[in-house]
Amino acid sequence: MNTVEQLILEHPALKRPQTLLAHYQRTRSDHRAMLRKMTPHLANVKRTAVADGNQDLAKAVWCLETVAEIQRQYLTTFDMLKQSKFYAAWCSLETIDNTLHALKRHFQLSSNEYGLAFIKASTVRWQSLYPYAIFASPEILKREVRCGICDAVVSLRKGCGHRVHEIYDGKCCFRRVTKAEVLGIALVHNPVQKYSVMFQADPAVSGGESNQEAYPLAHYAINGLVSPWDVWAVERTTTRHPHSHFSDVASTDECPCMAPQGTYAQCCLPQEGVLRPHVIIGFSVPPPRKLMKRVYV
Amino acid sequence: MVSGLFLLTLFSIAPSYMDDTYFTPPLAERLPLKLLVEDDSTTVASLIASPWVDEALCTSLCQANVVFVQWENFRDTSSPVFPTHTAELFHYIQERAPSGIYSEVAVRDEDYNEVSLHADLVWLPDILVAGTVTAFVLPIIVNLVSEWLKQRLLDRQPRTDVKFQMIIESPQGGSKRITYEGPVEELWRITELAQRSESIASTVLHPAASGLPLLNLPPDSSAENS
Repeated sequence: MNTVEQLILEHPALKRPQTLLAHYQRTRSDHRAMLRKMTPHLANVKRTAVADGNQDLAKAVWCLETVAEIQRQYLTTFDMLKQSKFYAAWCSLETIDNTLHALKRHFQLSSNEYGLAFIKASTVRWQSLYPYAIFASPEILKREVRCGICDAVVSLRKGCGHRVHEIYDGKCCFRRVTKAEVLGIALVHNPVQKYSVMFQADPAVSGGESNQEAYPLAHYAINGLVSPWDVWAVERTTTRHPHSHFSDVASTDECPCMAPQGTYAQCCLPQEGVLRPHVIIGFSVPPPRKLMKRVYV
Repeated sequence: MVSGLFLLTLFSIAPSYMDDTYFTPPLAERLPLKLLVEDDSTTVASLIASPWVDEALCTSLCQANVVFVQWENFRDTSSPVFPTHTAELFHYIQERAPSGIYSEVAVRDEDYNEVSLHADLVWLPDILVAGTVTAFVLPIIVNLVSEWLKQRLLDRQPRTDVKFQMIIESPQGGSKRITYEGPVEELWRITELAQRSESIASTVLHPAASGLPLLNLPPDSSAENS
């Protein structure tokens, strides 16, 4: 346990917020209300710590504020998914991912004391259920970079002394690119910024309107979850689909299993069905009965 | 046409949060890994002759045995560029390299620009290893780069591949450029490839032709480079 984590557990001003954040599995509205109430208290503690030059305490407050922000964002994302706002939820998941990454350098995420390990795993799992495959990725030439703490221009050999990702006066240090040129835009599978999804022209798919058909896996999973804190898992495998689903495929056509070699007749037709990707979603809390069936998409 | 299937199954889930989330395919599916050796003309002397080096930097470059080399004419830009995070990697190596290793960047501060590219492939800056102790310096630099990548970038994107070029200057003049493209876990192949040669500093680097099934070397690369 590092100094900051010890302060979080032992400092009298942080005791109450720490306990509240650790009991995160209350109802969504209750937890949101609690997070709202806690914000001014933490801001006050941080102000005092900065005035006293107590950098460790200011950093401990920043950690708790960030934990609260992650929990709040996760609850918001869950609501977005429930409302079928899938693209908005996708962007929100990216924000959670970035915030977790910033916190990770200063605070242990693996113990799940504040639900952070659960949120981290859930974030990746939700992202894995999205159909997005192509993203726009810009190539940017950075002409001027400034420090997020002191606003000084940072060059290769002349730094301002502030280190990226370190905490100063309870604020995380980032770099701001203030002058840049876009050299090009590429289409990639694995972008730096996940929000730059290349949508089809259909505005319903672009996040303006809910479009459950475009997100069958995410839609199915969110319908099976009652609470954002219910444990669930995804298993990926293959299974054989009935040949009746492929009545439009001629035996001389390419096999619908997408295997590179052989026609339908040479590949899956002699088998009991067509080999296709198969996703099993398991819920620790039983979902509604109507979901307890195979769904073909 | 039916394009996919999913089935709900209830099963007991242990509270282990990381089991199903990373679908990292086996290494063989992500390759071909590329590892090439080519003749090159980049040397410390050629870098010093560039318009982006002043007198002070020239002195510093002459002492350095690890030099970060700029990309020129990238997307038709007139200024030299480096891939994003170069400054961070440079400072990381400066702080952690053992004594005897001096690193420098081959352009003045005012000419230094970083370009951010795509996450599909992490582009690392070209690094030139110069001097008479390249056999000692090379593995250290490869290890430091691997460590930095693991700490800084790959904890978020475990499937990301890297592209990295190391230039090894020969005391006889000229240099050899080793180009690596593949997963960070395999970066050690650069060192292995260099060590397979009889002498890094004085002879042609022979790419590993056998015993490494993942290598994707052009069949004639060895002969060409000789």
